[in-house]
Amino acid sequence: MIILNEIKAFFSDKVNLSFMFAFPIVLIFLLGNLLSTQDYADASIGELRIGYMIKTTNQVEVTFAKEFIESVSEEGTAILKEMTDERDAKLSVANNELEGFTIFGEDEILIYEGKDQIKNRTITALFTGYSNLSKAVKVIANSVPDKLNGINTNVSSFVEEKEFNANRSMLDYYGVSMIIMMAFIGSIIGAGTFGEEIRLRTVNRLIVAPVSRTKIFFQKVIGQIPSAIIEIVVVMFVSVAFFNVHYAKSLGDNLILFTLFLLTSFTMLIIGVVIGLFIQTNPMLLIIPVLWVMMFLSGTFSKQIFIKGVSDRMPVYQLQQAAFDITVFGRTNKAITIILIEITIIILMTIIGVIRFNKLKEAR
Amino acid sequence: MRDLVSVNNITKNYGDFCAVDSLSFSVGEGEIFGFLGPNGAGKSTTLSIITTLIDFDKGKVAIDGFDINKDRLEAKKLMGMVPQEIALYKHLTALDNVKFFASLYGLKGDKLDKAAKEALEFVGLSDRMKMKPKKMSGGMQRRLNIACGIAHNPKLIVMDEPTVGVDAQSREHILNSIRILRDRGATVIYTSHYMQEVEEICDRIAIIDRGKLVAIGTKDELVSNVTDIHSFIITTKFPVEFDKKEFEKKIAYLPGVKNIYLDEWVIKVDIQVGHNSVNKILEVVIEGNLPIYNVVSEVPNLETTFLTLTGHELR
Repeated sequence: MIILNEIKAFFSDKVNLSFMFAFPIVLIFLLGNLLSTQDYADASIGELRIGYMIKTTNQVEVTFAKEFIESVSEEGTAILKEMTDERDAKLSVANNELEGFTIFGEDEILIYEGKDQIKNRTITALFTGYSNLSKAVKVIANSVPDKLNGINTNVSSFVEEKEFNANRSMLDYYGVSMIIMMAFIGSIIGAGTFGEEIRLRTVNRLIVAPVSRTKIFFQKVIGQIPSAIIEIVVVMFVSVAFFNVHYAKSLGDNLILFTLFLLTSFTMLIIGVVIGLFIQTNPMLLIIPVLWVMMFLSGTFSKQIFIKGVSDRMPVYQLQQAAFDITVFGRTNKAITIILIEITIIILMTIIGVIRFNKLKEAR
Repeated sequence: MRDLVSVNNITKNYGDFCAVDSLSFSVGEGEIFGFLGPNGAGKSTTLSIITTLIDFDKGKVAIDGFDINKDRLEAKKLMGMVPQEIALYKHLTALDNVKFFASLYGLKGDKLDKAAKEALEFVGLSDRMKMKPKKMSGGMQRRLNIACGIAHNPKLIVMDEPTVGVDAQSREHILNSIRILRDRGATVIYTSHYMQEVEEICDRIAIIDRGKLVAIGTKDELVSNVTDIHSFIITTKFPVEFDKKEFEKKIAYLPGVKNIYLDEWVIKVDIQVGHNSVNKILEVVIEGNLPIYNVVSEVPNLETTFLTLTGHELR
């Protein structure tokens, strides 16, 4: 009954509905379209200038590296320039004359990254693909060298995941960033979970009822989950169906992305719940400014906003990057790490919340 | 009458401040028990302890034999609380509010529906079941507040000022409802700032001050413990040449007369309860050819008793 009451309370509150559904959807549309002239989705990815040096003496590796360089150059994906001096090459990267510098070494590839985050990711993805295929080629070459003739070193065979040709737009960026924003705003809803009960004094009626406080706590928190799920599903559906937003390519990646969004939403919700139990008078005064500053610095409202050493330390930024890793590159490592961290936070916050609620005094 | 609530020697401190100091009393089954005290006397704290809203430092409280610390859930099942504040969900209708709170006491399905509807009918809101609290008047919200506390048919109902801010009609309805609840077998602990209400409906009354029990008993017991004097006041007009001393002597010799106060317009006589000297006083006044403009008999009431015991007005 408490769970149902929570769901009813959420959906009967017009402010909740506008904040959690209408607001992010409108923002995806407005930011994605109106600011598209200010932000660039993928223009720079096609102009990669990468310096390289082949230092390996292994003949198989040398042959494979050369074929790879030739293939990439033919495709026009990147401009690969052979460097003779390692120091000069690094300096060129530092001066933005090159986006990156790679050394094909013995059993290793060293990559020196430039300043552009998106380009860095592309370079890493490009050479990760090369590295994986190179290892496989070496194994085949070492065991059955004849088979090597059949290996296709065409760049498209291992850089498919990078979606160089995908028709991406700023709507894709804001699709992800708005869902993460929505998840973070969930902390405000969370803070109101008990805050509203305390304000209305209904918490006293709950406390005197013959139900354990731990059970009340869990039922109230669980009651928030359906709305969190519906919010994400609705925003994802609307953004795909009406704004042609691209998320991940495969169903599996989309499921991981959805899990990431859902757990983020739930983490923020439970953090909000705990804050609301400790700060009973207007917890929003603390939560809202922190959220907005954090989201602003993380580039939620414009991807051009990035302050090195600040933005990249923001949880929102890390979450966005994990989501973009899935949607753009099909990489899930970062998302899975964040999911594990979030599960830990949820468990910790639940324990703190239960202890706090069990010690809560009557609301007067 | 057996005791349903037994409060033994409870103490509650907030830091150095002792809100409830070794308080003991019991409430009999099926009685309306009034709880009075000036602001800050500790009555709300005591009610909060009984309803398990707050813990206490020392002592023992039992509801129908269940210790509220050891058998908390069992004790809670027997209780219904009507808080001073209107504690309702604004997003739920009147019926859904009552159903929600009654469901916390284990009612389900048809039983829950029936109990909720009966509670609303009991407080006179059966025609407002689909209405949300924000559209109700203050009096209706108060009545709904009561319905939410009684729908599960509790043995003990704790009512903390349930008539605050309501119109006369709603107040009368609420007071009648409390009497009916008592007649049905419920025990009610009742606090109010309206002394008249307490006098009107409570079978027994406890007065506390500074966290301690000052007096307990029926209204008559409380009043008689404090004073056995009532006053008889006649408004008149003494002529200038009137012999007031002779007049005073005649009244002073009447049985039961304790004090006489005279001024140009008023004769006030304090008489001990049990002596009927009023007729004789009037005879003396008429014999003296004094005009009688008004006659008032001031019987000591709970308010004067409370004032005497605590030294404070109730509010």
